[in-house]
Amino acid sequence: MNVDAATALDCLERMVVIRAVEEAICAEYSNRNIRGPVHLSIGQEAMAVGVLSVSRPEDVAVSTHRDHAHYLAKGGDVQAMIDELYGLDTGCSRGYGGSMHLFSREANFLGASAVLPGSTPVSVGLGLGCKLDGRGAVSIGFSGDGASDEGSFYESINLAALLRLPVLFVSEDNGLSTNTPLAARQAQTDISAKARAFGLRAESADGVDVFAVRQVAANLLEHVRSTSEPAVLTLTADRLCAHVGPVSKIPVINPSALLDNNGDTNPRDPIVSCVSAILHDTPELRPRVRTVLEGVPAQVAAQFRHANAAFEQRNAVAGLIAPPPPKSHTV
Amino acid sequence: MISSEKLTVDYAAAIVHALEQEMEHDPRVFLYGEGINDAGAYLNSTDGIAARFGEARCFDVPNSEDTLVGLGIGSALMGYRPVFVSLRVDFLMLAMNQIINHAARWPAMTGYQASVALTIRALIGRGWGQAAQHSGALYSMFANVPGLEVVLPSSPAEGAGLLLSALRSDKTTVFIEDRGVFGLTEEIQSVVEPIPFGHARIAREGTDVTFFAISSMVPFALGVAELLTPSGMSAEVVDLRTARPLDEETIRSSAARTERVAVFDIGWTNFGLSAEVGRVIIESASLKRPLLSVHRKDEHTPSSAFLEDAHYPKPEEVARQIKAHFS
Repeated sequence: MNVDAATALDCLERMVVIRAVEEAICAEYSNRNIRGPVHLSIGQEAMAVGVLSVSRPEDVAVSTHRDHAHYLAKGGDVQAMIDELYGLDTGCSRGYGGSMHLFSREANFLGASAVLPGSTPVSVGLGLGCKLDGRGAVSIGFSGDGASDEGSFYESINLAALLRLPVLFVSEDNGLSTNTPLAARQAQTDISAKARAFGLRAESADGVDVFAVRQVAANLLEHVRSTSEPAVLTLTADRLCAHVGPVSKIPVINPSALLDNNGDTNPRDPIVSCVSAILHDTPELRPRVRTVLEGVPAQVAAQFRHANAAFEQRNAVAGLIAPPPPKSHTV
Repeated sequence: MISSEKLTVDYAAAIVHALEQEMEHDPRVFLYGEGINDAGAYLNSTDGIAARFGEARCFDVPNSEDTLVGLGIGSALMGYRPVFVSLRVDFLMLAMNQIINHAARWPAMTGYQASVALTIRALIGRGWGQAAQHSGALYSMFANVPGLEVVLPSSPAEGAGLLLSALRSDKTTVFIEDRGVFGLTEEIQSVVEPIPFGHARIAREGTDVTFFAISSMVPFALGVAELLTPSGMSAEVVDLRTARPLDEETIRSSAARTERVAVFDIGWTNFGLSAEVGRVIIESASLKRPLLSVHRKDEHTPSSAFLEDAHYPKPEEVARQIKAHFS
């Protein structure tokens, strides 16, 4: 661990919030009050938290269809996101965006696109805005490896490099576009290597280890901020859930299993990795880790109950009949 | 303060004048486009901007249309008022993902908390043998899309006033400029006033038939109206100015008055202006004669002068057609 205790616990808590929200989505989805496709970040939380925990509040970020982790890690309001999933007008996008289009002006999370590589060119424009503002903020554009199949992903890197715009392109490589492996889609699968061909700084890190992500992201953000030049960060992690739909491939957070490392834990699970690192380096934090692992899911569950009650109350007036559950979550 | 001074200018000079006025007034406005600072670029319609405001506010860019629209969207989300200038409407086909999926939809996707105050100027290379890929009108593709404004100026004064509204609009505006209007010269106010969108202009009053027109087909329709005067037919010419928003009220009222309607389009007829004007009228009025549509051939533009000449309608031919149809 390369951080102090408070920072370590903060990173863990941010990741557990994301995980708890998505586990609650999985649990609640079949009640049919949450509608629409959900692209979960289970397994990918350390990339969002690692990068955004070393960014500044005034930095602006955009994301993709898989945007829950980025919205929450940027500081988006948890209840407003849950309300959005329920289609309430108190939702962060007032019910217009849903899971794939979260938005928070207050948190400088300026939206998410569900068409590849849609938000990447937009992140270049945000970088131009930051440069024109001259206040030292930078643009952070999250994309998946799927976006790097597309031509305008590379146009964006070129344009940002050419115009010297402060953009950190974060390419989250989970190895899959829906279910097609990266190696089946790209002749050269090293995204950072291709980015370096544009003459800019590009680095890679293990996207499962939140502390490793933080370190490399902090260096690159400092570089982008001080030089007003873009950089590319490629992070690799496993998508421990379906491409779309409320389907996790790992067990829900189990505090005893995590604390004692005696249950069914996956070493590629960033929360397992984070808890192990904290307990290994600072065993005295065990009680505080337990508080996070137990307290956060309980708090999130209460927030879902709140949204669910608001939905039921609203629906008592609107009288919407929930459609039958879809046979597949991929359509 | 509104000045009563007037300038006599061609279309390009009118556009430069409006741009300079707004860039002076609003530091958030900037321009970019491929080769924008080349001598004579964009038919001279960006002349002198970089010299006056600096290249930071008028800059050259690579051939990356989709990304260039994204550049505008992102900076607009940060509060700026970018203007992307595209040499041809046809080149915007490379940017449809950013224009339709992003610029038009981003406000809606955020519950209308964000706006994309982006102006996209794009030229139509009508005439001069520019063939299929440089002369497309294609505006109706954009006019189909909620969240976009689609503007089709017909003259220098119209261009200046409508561009000012585009630069001040909080929505993404696709501002389509037919090469056919660049040759026109007229008086404009030295202090340009914005022309609001969705308000058609009666370019010529008449009683027997209404010609609904846009862009370069407005002067064309005025010419046809003059040709018909000796035969005693009095044609009203309505410049619709904007395809979205469309001034449905003026369409209905003029059509109700003359009960005869012809539509003068710059694009293909299928799903174009005739269909849209027809829909508005059929929803309200009854006509004495069926709607007549005047438009280019339903084919891709050939390059040859002879073939190209046959591609576009001719005033005399249209006047004969109108006489036969409405007499």
